[in-house]
Amino acid sequence: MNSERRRELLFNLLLNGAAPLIAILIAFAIGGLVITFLGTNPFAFFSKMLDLNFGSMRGVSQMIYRATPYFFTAMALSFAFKAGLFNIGAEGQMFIGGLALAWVGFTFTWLPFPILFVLCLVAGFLGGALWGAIPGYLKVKRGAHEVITTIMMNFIAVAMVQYIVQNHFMDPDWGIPHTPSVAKGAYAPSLSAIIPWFPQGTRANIMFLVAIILAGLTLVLLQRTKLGYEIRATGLNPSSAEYAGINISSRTVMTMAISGGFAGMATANFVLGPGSHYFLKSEYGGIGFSGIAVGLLGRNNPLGVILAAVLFGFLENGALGVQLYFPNVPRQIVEIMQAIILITLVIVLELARKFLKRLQKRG
Amino acid sequence: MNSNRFLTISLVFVLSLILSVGLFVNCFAQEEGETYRIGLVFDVGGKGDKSFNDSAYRGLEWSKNGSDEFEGFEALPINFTSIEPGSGGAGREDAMRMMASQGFDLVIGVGFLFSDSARSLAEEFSNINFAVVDYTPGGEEIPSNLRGLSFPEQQGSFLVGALAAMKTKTNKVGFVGGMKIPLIKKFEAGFKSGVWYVDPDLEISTKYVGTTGEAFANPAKGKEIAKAMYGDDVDVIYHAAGLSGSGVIEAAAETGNYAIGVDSDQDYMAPGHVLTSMLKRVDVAVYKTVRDVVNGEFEGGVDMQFGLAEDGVGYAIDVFNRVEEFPEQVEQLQNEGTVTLPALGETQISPKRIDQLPTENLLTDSMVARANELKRQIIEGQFTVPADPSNVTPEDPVQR
Repeated sequence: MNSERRRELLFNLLLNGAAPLIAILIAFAIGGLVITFLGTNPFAFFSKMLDLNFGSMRGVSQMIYRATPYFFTAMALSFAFKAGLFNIGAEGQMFIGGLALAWVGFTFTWLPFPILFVLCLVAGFLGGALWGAIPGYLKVKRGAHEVITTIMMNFIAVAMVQYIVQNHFMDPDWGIPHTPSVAKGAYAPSLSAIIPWFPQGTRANIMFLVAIILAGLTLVLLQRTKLGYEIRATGLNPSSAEYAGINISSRTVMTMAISGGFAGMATANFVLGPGSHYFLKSEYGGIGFSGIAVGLLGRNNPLGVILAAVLFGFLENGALGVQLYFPNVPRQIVEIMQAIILITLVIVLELARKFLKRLQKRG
Repeated sequence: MNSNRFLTISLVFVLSLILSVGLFVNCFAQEEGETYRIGLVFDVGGKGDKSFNDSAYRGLEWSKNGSDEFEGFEALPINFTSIEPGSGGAGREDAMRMMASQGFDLVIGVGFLFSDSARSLAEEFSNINFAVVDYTPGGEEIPSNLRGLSFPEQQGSFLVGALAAMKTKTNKVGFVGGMKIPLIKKFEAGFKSGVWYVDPDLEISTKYVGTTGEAFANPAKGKEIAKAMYGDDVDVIYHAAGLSGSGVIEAAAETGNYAIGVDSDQDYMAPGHVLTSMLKRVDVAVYKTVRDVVNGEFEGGVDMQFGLAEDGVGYAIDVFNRVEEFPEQVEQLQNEGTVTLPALGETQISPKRIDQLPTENLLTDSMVARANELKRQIIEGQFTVPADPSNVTPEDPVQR
């Protein structure tokens, strides 16, 4: 029993810890090869990337800043996955939630700091939750597959948000389709206000800490509460969950709502964080879709998702900077590497599973 | 245990790779030269828009290599790099911030969308110089290390409007704008003013492509609008629509009418069908700003105007609209089958093989003479061209 349990732990560690690492290394190796073919030293290239991200607190800050929204959209995928649902709608849920939180921020301007800030997050959560609950409801009541409905809801959300901002909130003389700015009470303080190592005006803000706290809470919710148990049971085997008396319809809708709620808070990093304090749709496109990749890479574990998000922040921030030093390497190389990471991850997972099974057989 | 060994081996493998990458960090530290480092971040549309962005890039090329198009534009001791933000402009501010944090001497943002970001960045990086093309102050004070580069586009648009009025045979001309914002309204105001200054009886039809930034990147829509206008008896259309404008020029070639290009010299895009181009010399403004930084004369805190007097705006005269003035290029066409266009820096997509040049001048001597006379009057301040189209009427096209 004891050795059985140890073996299982090891199995999980290898599968969920080592496999992503190996996938990342293979991606870097392939990326390095391509860079070599382009006539650039890959070690110089990647070490510059390291330097741009970890060489200064400013670099660290930018990496975190870019990573933060990915955590939220990736959690949208991962959380739904726990109940066996595939939520591809983080993009749309992010836009609806983003507009909602910005609206609260520039409407209830008289509220003081922590109150308005928290209200904005709640609004973002509720906006995303609403947009996520609809596909959940359609699945339960009409049997519409959530992959199809969430994808379609993305298009509706993008067009609707664009329409609302342009026709109701945009300043026509200014011409950029963004909402009015949120009030001071909604600002998410920069990390430099809390952690003195960060230079003044750092963009990375407490939304990153909110992400870490939410990751912990999610773990507790899933592992230590009745609701979490029911959600996991629904995901593992819906029929036996139902037989055991779990209302899987209500759990499905609730899971989709919480999942969408995560995505709904993704743009708080930009709207409430330091910088321009308005909602500008064109700045956020794609964060929801990339979240799918981040969630898969994080193996649907909240802590893994944080690491995966930071890796994506690392790659994107680095990609921006290496353009300055290696102009003959196209910036798309990093997007290619992100894709390779995912493909190799799938392959490595499969291989590792086979390898471990063989080991188990041999005893 | 077997699986233990597998774990150990893979851990050692991973750690050694991380270490070796880490060791290389120091080996490839960049050496700083005596040269100035200039960074540029493109707008939506990016490099290769044959217009606004390319013009800015050309300014950097001139800074590095010099140019004989203007007097005194010598090569400067600089290195430059550029960044294209992702689609939709995401990461615009991050790109500028990256350059600033890498200690660039000057960071240039191309487009009014950079105004907000540049203002806050300039405050954060007080030892770095910033410049924004088409800067929009938004009523706020400009930091002392930020310079706005602005162009009284209405002045250049006035001249091409005057030329359009002299050229039209149907007594109907048109204007196609990108996005209906104050910046583009300046083009509209200048054009109308120029047309009616020459002939108050002319009819002008006006259309905008859209209401978002995408309106500057939709050639299909531009073409559709232009075709409708040409179908309605308009014979000269001036576009201020970025990449969408290439659709306007295509429509002119297909229907046998005239278009007027914008920002860069676009006359080559449909030889014989582009009457002229309103030049917005972003290249001149960028070059002059780089030169100021190199000479230690950079002054910020201002929204600097580059008008007719500063060669910041104007209109194109080249082999495509004044063929008789450029016999060398005609000869080159006969011998080699293509025409070299020296003014279009190396970022330009090379023009299609041009088999044919117009056989006669699209702009006659008298038209050019009249336009130059108007230019002189504006520079001398005999009248001012309004920047807001609602101030332009056929009876009262300019302010005296």
